[in-house]
Amino acid sequence: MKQLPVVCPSCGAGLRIRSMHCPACDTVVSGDYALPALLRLPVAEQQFVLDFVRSSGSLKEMSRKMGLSYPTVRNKLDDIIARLETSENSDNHEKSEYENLEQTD
Amino acid sequence: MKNPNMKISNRLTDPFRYVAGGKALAWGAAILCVEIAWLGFAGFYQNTYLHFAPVAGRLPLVRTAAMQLAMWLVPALLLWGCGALLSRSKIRAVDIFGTTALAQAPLLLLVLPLGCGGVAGRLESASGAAGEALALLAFALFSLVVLAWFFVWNYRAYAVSCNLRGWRAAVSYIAVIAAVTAASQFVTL
Repeated sequence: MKQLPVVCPSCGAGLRIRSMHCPACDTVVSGDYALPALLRLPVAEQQFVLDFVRSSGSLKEMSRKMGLSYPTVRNKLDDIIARLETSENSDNHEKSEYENLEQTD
Repeated sequence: MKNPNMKISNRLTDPFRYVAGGKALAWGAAILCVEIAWLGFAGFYQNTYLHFAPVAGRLPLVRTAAMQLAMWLVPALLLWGCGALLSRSKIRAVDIFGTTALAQAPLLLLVLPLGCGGVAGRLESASGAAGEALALLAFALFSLVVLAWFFVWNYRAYAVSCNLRGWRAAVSYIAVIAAVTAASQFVTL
């Protein structure tokens, strides 16, 4: 699975989307879009979320499929939740800073 | 989805990644039963992790069972309380009690030799003979290794069941074990 880069290889800051391209008609959409929180997760954690949804949100089913114990799987999920919360908090922080800047201008 | 690279060494150092809950509790209960039966058969009692002592006459099995159950349940209860206070995860009682019961497995290696080959007699009267002293020293070293293994498993049982890591897990675990060990000094038969 090809990994989407989410941090700048030069300075380590979070990357944003500048443009998107339609391969069918060659249209290019430009703008400034934040990456969705799920896409900012590492590939293994994205796969975990996909598998979790496919298992109808059952941790027991996940632990059976992964061959891991229930608390190990639950801990992985809790780590992902914590990571998403951190990501959302930093988004909100960035958003409020941006709004403050706009108001002062 | 199963990881084919699950090494046996991983299972030996951190079995609770793979086993927890009811399965761990069932295995742990079986191990405790063997320990209780064997200590009763060998005529020993144990009131801390490394304090085995021979008893004059035969100790009622109920008392041996009570000591062994207390050695498992008291720390497990305290660790459960710490987990409930410190963890952000929804912890399950069956995980903490099951994994800490299974973590007693290495202690079987200390209990089983007590009933065989006159180890009991040697521990009872450490006479001056050089061979005897060497045998005791080897047993003491072996006990330390087994005890370290037990503590690694017991700590991992706590950390995995309560989703704790870093200083929170280490400090709370050491505090519980120190408190239980100190309290057990006052427990006599």
